[in-house]
Amino acid sequence: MSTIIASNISDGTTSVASTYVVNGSAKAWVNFNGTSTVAIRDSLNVGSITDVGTGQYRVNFTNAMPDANYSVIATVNGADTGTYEFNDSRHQALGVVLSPTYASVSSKHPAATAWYDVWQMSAAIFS
Amino acid sequence: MRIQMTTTLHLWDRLAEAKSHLTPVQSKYRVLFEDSQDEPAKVLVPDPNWMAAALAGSILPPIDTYLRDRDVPDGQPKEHPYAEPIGPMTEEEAIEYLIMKDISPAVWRDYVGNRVVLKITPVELIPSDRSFRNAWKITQDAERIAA
Repeated sequence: MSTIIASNISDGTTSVASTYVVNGSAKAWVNFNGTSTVAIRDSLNVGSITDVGTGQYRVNFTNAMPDANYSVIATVNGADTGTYEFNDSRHQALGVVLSPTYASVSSKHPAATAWYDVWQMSAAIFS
Repeated sequence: MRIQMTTTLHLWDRLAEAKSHLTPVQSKYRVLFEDSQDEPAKVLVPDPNWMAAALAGSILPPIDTYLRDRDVPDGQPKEHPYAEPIGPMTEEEAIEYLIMKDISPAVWRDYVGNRVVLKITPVELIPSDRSFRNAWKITQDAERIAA
């Protein structure tokens, strides 16, 4: 594996500082099934997830973030009980930064009184 | 497939390289644990890309680097991204590694009570029906190892 060291990246017309590319890349991401027996579909820089309870999960990083000032973005699709439909735009996801080593993600529906499990949950971390 | 890595690569680069070459491995195991009497049993789910890296070797740092990094203040350089990677692990060793990395030592090292608060269990023994998920506790019956 080789390393390219450059201050700028250009397509021949427009140039951008390489720091934008490095800092703008997701430092970790994960897509998992939060229903039935919870399982991870795919990821980068994730060692495991913790099924904390109904609709609540923890994403544990392999390479920890430098501090707890990073950003976590989470999205959801689908419910496990059939109460709410797939692709329902009212599904909500909540991402919370808790520690340099893990982030918390949760899923909810406005009509629900509590967290609920979802068929597809995704999270991306930027720092 | 075995990836040859140089020790100068950052852990982030090793993980990215591993993801592009290794086939993900879905673990046969889950880890049930209880870290609070007031909360339901939690389930640790190994990541398939991480498991592939653990089985391949030459990617993950020694577990003791993670343990030492727990005491490093936020914003200070951590040891584990730069540590020399360790060799291949068995799946059982990888699960033990993951327990020490992602579960509080209060559960796997410091707990002194009689109640079983941590179990490594085959995935098929984890209930797939998540009814009453927030009431799950680890059964204390030695013959039954489901939540």
